[in-house]
Amino acid sequence: MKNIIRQKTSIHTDIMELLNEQIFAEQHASSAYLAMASWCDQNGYLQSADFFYKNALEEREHMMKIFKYVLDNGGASFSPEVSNINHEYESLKDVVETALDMEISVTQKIYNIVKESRRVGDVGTEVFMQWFVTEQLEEEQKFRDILDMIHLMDGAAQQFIDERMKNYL
Amino acid sequence: MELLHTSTYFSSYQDAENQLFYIDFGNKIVTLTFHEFLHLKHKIRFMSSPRYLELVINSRNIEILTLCNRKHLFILDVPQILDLQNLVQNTCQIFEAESLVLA
Repeated sequence: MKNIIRQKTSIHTDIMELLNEQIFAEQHASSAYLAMASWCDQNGYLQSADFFYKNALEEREHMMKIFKYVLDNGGASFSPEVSNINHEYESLKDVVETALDMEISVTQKIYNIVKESRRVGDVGTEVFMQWFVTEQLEEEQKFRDILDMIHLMDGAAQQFIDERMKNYL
Repeated sequence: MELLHTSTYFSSYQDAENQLFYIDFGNKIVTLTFHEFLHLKHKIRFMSSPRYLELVINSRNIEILTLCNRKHLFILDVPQILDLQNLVQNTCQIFEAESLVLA
């Protein structure tokens, strides 16, 4: 039997669904970072705002990377609908803790794509996702470092903590 | 046309020469290109998710499915949604299993 699906795309169709879910996850992260930047800006944490604006752009670039990969390999990407973005935080520390939780969640989704790609024999996608695995390790560690810094500066004026955020840009 | 899979309400076929899929909805046969088939897979996966089905059951108990850039419109109840998901998933698995055997 002639395999139309394999002739049309290099990506396993179930993996393609996971990649589309990842497109949503990256765009959701981008919108969440934008909301965090807005909160920081409104509360006078200007360095932190710049940091989260940059992160919002990075997550969008990640989203576009996957979006293009699916299309460039004969698949179908779907523009993500993002809703329920939280705009309320108790403190700068709360913002960073939320960001770390979000990064961990994104990492787990990426690990799942790698594991599933390996299981179904989609070697191309597995190799493509390697870049994201490395990137996520860096992202997670960046937020852990910021939380360490906040912890070390416990008791200091919030403005001093904000000043230090430019070191993570 | 080559039969790929038959579920309770629907059947899928392929035309390898023209690289087209066909879905027999009982009262109508719809021709789909590969990308239109991917769109159907994406939509039906979303519609058959537990959270979405709960919404359907708690509201009108039917759902509208459009295909091929709104050229076709179907009204499906919950058993039909689940059956169509089953058909599309099994149709894909036939090809994926064959790829693994060839590998």
